[in-house]
Amino acid sequence: MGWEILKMTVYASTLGITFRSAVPLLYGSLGGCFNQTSGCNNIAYECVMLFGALFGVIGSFYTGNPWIGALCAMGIGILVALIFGMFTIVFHSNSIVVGVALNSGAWAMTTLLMVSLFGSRGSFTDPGIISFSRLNTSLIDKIPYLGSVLGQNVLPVYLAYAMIAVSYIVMFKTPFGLRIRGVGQNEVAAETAGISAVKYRMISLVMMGAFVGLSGCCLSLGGLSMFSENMTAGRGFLCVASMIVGGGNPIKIALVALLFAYSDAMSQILTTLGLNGLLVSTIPYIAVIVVLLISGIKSFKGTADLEG
Amino acid sequence: MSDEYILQMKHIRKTFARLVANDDINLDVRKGTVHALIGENGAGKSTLMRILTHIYKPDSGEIWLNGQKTNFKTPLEAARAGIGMVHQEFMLYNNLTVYDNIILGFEEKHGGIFIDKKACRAKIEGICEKYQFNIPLDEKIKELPVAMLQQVEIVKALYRGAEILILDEPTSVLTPSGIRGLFKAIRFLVDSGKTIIFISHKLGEVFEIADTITVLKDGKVVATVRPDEIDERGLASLMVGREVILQAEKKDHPFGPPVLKVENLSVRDKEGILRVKNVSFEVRAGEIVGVAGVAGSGQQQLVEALFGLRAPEPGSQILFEGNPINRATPAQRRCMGIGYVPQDRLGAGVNGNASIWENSIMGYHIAHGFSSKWLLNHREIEAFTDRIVDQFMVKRQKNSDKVRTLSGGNIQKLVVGREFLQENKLLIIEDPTRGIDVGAIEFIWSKIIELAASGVGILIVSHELNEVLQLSDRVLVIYNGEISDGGRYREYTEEQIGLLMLGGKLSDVQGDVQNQNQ
Repeated sequence: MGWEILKMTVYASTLGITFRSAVPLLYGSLGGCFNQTSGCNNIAYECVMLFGALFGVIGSFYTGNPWIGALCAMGIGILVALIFGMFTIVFHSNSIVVGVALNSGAWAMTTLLMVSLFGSRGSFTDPGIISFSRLNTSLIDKIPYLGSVLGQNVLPVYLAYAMIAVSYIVMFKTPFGLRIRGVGQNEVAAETAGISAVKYRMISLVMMGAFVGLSGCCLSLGGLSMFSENMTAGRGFLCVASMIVGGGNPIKIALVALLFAYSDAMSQILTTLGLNGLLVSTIPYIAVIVVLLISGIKSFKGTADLEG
Repeated sequence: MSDEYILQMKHIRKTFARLVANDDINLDVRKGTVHALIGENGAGKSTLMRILTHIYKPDSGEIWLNGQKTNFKTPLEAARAGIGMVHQEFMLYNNLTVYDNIILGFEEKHGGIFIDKKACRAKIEGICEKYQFNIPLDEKIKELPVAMLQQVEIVKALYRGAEILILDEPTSVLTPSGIRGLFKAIRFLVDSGKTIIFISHKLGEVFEIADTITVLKDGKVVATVRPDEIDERGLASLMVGREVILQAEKKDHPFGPPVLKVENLSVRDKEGILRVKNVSFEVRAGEIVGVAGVAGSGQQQLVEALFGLRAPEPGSQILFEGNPINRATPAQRRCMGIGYVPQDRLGAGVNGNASIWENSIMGYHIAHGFSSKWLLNHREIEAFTDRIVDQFMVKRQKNSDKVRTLSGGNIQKLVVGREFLQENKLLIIEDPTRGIDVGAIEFIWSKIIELAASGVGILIVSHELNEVLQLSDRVLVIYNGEISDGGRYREYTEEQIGLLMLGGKLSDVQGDVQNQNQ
């Protein structure tokens, strides 16, 4: 049994699931890391992602084109992000309270929209929902082992991995990234350099909305072509956790996201062994706690002193 | 005429509500000189510089740069026109490298979107070489010492193309050797054609570095002089000499044994800089001891150490009624009978969101038995709150109102009342009358004198020299962390103490006394 499990950790199918299920986390956390770095304490990822998943389905269902679905998802993501921005950046509300409100409201709102638009409860599937089509990756497929891990995926999957490099370059090689980092660290200093904190936070918030919306639509149009109630199931929070642990470095963020995806894949594979499904499905969340613990120990420097 | 001045500020006026911060200020700065701007806290120096860098908009007045009237709309435009400022609080990003800090907001680009690292680096290295700065570009800010950070700030301003460099109290964070380094750098900058506006309230430094000195007082220009036209004493009296409006009625009474004895006290601030240096003094029962000094001379650290908010250096000794209390916590000190009126009344004095009655017992809830074992005794608390309100004339609607709803003067009365009505043996009072009106000042003064007459030892630390002189039986002057004797009540004049506060010598002061006696 132990040997079986050990072998499963490197199964091509385990890694293949990891490769695919990391995609929403990558879009969400890489798209949001600029906003996080600019000093917005934004936790409304669950909300934006859920809306993205629903509107991806709506766009695809009514037009028959998954790419228009993706555009709808990004649009609704930006809209929800701007609502968040209006409350927190313009009116200076507490970002955690607004984030909790949006996250809690999203479940109800999306379910209500699903019922009123499609008349179905629980979940909505229809042949009219067109998913992204798989790419012809015959070149990759021929490579042994790697072929079955990486091949036969939809275009957004490959774009997500390209985004790691793009985010890294934007964060560390462009004035935009530098200013985002500056605004997050010392707002007053940035203002004296003529950099508007509000402007950069808003721009990064729009990016967050677009990419988290897209990540939601990868869930609903990435293979299954369906929307179900609360289908994000905590993935938004995994994005937030990846960003916090990754500390603003897109490569570290992507690695953490991949780790979460891997533990998710392991839990899926382990259920095939007949282990208790509920128990196994806690693995990704235990992974979050372990990662947070390790990264916490690293930055723990001793007891707080009088200076605070 | 105007082309010999690189900068002229004409008839600048700026008001904040009813406070006139700048009143018809004229400032003419010659190119290639160090122009010092001196004045007490609140004299309007910072406001004037914020107007110059366009953080504030003046109510009226004009700024002329290189003989042309300017019309900047944002701080960025002022920066682009060559006005750079090194703020007293450094404007740096702790987790970025020195290099990133310097270029942020003013990046050289290639391809329109990417940072041109080579060009940026070459530009910074050019500046460092030309003005002889030696800073590690790839270290993170948080790993560098303060003196280095100041150099980074100066290089940053030069990188942004500053022709006029404003240094806001640049020496306050530096050690003597750091100050020498800074002065060398300033000389070098001026020699290569830059213009420096040097803000300070330390006279010795100003004489050492400045070509022209403008003195501000109460928002007005009192004088613009060259260092060779005036001596330190003259400058000090221009700067601090003011009419005495308020008069405290002191009563003669004998002093008891020492309640507080401080021996060889040294204290470092949170950056690790030694701010209080080997200080010894004592406060006797019934005596009012006043500590005069320019802000930032170490008063804050001194008080923090006395009240247990900051640990003193080894070898220091603080004795309360003969017992060492070096390691006692603030709560323990309160229980022994030490009261404290902090300077920052909203931050440290009260909890603005709590009610008046909660604030009335704050800090004394354990010490003086407001609680019946586990629960608060509301009858006693109400009675005590009413005593404060009655005796200190706090204007309030009801005791359950939030403190935040009170005016500044009333909050101060509440804090003072809370501390004064306890049976304390020693009171440490910081700026008891900061920001309150004349009537309230006189009232609080009379209460302080009353309290001393009843045998309480009182230590007053105030930035208002007049207040210290009016109230104190003995004056101590703190300058750069060292305490010198400022004599007994009315032994020295305000100008003489003022000179001590600015680092003058005691011998000068005594010489003056002899002159006066003749």
